[in-house]
Formats: sequence, C-alpha cells, structure tokens
Amino acid sequence: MKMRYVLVGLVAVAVAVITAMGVMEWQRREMVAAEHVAPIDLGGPFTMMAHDGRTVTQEDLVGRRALIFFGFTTCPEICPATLNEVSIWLDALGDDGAMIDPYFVSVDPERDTQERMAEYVSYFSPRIMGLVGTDAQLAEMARGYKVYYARIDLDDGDYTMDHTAAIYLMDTDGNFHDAITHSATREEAIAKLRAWAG
Amino acid sequence: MRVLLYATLCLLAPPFAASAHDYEHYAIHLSHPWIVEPPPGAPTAAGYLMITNDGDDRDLLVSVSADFAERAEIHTMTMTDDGIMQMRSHDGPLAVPAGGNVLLEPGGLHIMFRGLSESLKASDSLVVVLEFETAGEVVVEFTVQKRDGAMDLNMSHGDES
Repeated sequence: MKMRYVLVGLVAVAVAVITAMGVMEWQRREMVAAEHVAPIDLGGPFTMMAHDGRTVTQEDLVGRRALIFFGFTTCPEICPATLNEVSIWLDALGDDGAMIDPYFVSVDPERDTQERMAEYVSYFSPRIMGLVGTDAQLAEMARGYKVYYARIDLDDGDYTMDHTAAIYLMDTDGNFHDAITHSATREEAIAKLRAWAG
Repeated sequence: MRVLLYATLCLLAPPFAASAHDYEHYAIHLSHPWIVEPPPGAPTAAGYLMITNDGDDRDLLVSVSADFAERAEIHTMTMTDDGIMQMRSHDGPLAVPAGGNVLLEPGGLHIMFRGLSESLKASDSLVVVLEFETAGEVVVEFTVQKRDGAMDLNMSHGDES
C-alpha cells in the first residue's frame, strides 16, 4: 500500500518536471524567434565574378548554405577581422559547417580586381569565395541584400568605403535565414551556425 | 575598464604577453605597440597601442610617421546603429588626458598605415615615430603580429579623448 503512494508521488514529480522543461523549451523557442528580426525579403538575383574567374549567381546558392558579407580589400580593420572570424568559425564547426559556403563580396569595384581578391581571401581560408563585379553588378546585388556602401574620400585623393557589416545566412532555397551582426560573440556565432547548418 | 580589457587580452593571448614591450618618455608611457599582419598585397595596415599620460597636463599626439608607409594617421572606426562600418580620420590631434590613457585597439581607434612600401610579416619589428606636443618625439618599435585567435569582434570600443 505504501509502495503505491510512493509510486504516485514519483509520477507526480516526474510530470511536474517534464511540464517545467516543456515550458522552458517553449520560452527558449520564443526567445529564439524574437531574435530573428531581420527582413525576410532579403536576397535575390545577382551575377558576380568569383576570385577564381567563375561566374557566380543566385543559382549557386541553391542547395547550399551561404554565408555572405560585404567589404573591400583595402579595409584594414573590420573586413580582415571578419574574414579571420569566419575562418575560425569554420574551423570550429568542422563537419557541421561542410554545407556552408562563405562569400566575401567587394563593395569597391574600382580597386578590387579578381587577382587582388584571390590573393586577399586565400590568406584567410581556402573556403572563402571572393566576389567582384562591375558597378552595375554590385549595385544589383547590394540592392537585393539591402547593403549600404559609399565611397568616402580622404584628404590626399585616396578613399575608404562605408559599408554594411552584417553577415547574412542564406538557406538552401536561396532565401534569407538570419544575420550575424558585429555585436555577436564568437561563441554565439558558432552556436547559431551549428544550429542552422549542423 | 579599458585597462582591465587590455590586461585581459594580454592574459588571453600568450603572443601578446610574450612580445609586450613598453616605452617611457617623460610623462608618456607607451604599452604594447603592435601592427596586425596585413594580408598579402594589402596597401594598408592597422597599428595599436596604449598611451598613458602620467603627467599633470594633457598631452597631444600630434603626428605619426614611419618609413615603411607613405602616410600614418589616427583613424576612428565606428559602427552605426544600423550596422554600417565607418572609418574616418581622427579630427585633429589625439588628446591624452592628464593621469589618463587612450587605448588604440582592434575595432576602435587605430593608427592607419597607408601606402605600405614593404610587405609586413608576423614578428617583423618596425620603427614608428610618435610626436607628442609636450613629450616630443618618441621612437617606438611596433611588432607585427598575426590577428589573434583570441580576438573577438565584440570588443568594446576605445573611448575617444
């Protein structure tokens, strides 16, 4: 008889624990959903040249998971820091990141030639594909990806570029999934990529 | 806070600690001058250090020069609320407050070396001249280091002074 009370008690405790876990999981998913705030109509058609001379279009993203960010090779700060981070993320992900194709898109058509891009990206990771294009090709892609870029003249005729620094994650159907922003820590970025592509 | 961050970085990144070197010149104290190794062919490189002023008066970093670069300038790097990276020349001389410090670090203030006349490689040592209004010229050797694996993008930005 006593044994039965004990059993009933244990079942009650188990139900309570499972319910609490369910609520926590539900709350966690709500939080994940709330973080997912970027516009969903981001992306679209583009035609650019890869650093190996291939033509890359939106069709190349289909069936893969693309990690896309914009910058320029003369940038001494945020661009190399981002490329460095991406290569660290890919190393950390290992096989979990096998589906990810990282693209570095130049917002500086005037200076970033295919050869220059090839030399630049290969310094960071053989996985990173550099994309260059004409002014019109870049404008089309930037419009689709809602990327801002602007030439800022320095006082001696040289110039730098302002540009959007977020990293876009594009799903296997070529549609926008999420973004990794500048404020993300390395651990957050790797966790996001693993949850997405792992 | 910035001192704490710097100390933390030194702890996290053994190459930093191993090659950290300091300079004293009158009231100006310069810690860990380094340049991040630029990718091959890059015409620019960024340099960092911490400048401390132990004196009773504010000093100004008036100019930076180096034989290996056509221009060396103080630049700011800011991220706008909508995620746009903006790099600008620092407006005028860089003030180092009395009894205070200015940290030039990745993601914030940096010395921008433009028009590199040679390719910079990790462990190279390069002479850079910093000219202060009061303390005068300080000749400093910057060590070239690879961008460290312990460096997060999420580092807090150095305050502009």
